[in-house]
Amino acid sequence: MTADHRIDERTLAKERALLDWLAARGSVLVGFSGGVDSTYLAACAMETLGADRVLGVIGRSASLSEAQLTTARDAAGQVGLPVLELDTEEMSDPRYASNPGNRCYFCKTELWTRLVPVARARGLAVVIDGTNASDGADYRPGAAAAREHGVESPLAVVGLTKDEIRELSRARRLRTWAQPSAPCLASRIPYGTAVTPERLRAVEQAEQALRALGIDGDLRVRHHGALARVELAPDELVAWLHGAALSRLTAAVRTAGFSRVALDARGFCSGGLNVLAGIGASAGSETVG
Amino acid sequence: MSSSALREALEALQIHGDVVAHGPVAVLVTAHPEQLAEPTARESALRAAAAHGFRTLAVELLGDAHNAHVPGA
Repeated sequence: MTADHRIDERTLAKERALLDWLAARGSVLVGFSGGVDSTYLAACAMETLGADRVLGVIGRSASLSEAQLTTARDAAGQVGLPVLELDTEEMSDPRYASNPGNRCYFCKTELWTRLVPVARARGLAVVIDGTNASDGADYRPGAAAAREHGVESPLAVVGLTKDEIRELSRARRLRTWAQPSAPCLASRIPYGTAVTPERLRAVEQAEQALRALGIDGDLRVRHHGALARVELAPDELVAWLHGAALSRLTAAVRTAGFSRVALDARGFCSGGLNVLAGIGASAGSETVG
Repeated sequence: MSSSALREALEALQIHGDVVAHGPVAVLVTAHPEQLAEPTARESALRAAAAHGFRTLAVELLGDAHNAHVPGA
């Protein structure tokens, strides 16, 4: 790796343990999203095993935004990861579409049900994901699906935290190192409200419209029927709490079909809908699987 | 959760507007969103919303023809 002398030795030791873990497996299929964690994991796998013994698989569905798909393809390209894109059908599962609190379990069940046979067919030893040591405190019903399908989480196994992964990603010059978390679009729809392609598209369009206004960083448009509730990072929030600015923001979100638009005074809250529902291990958690 | 009680609580904080309950979200409909630009005012408003049973407080711009709004609902 491109070691950076400022990185703590304990962190570097964890990375060495990760590379050893990967080498011991011999070949891997990476559930790949192009996020911070799976991109770092893929980079380490590529370094350790090479392109012939690593495959990244992107699960495509209506809950994956076009922007995130593009990001995933770009990230794979940067680390030279061979990628297979597979369509997943979680929207056809009424247990998922009805949007219960453990929705992610059904999504991940669908994902791993499709990916595990791919690994077997290609002779890849193990299926791995980007779950890390910081995820333990979060509300992640999808983790149970991973366990049930034998999916392993080497970042968590060696104890790498989210901050450490960002640090190590930066040392590797991965573009994802400072990338905001990007959970699936369904995370914007309150539990109990059905996940439909139309609602997902409205959220995606609204967030694209806000990005087009120049809003960077963490951003969520929460779907409350006719009302869109916008969460912005605290440093962005203040700039939009003025009449003319809020009018522009409102007009942008409305292009996605919402008739009412409200800006959350609390600002961006990872796992905001978990908080509204009163579930989750902490207010900082986001149901991302 | 009472939108009218929250409205009164916000008035006491010199934050003016109608409050519309939208499930666990309190929506403050106002022509002056800058009332919440100051962190102290915002935190006070959020605390008031929480005290009245809401999970969060969001600001909707009044005076927008497309923003269907039922005062005092």
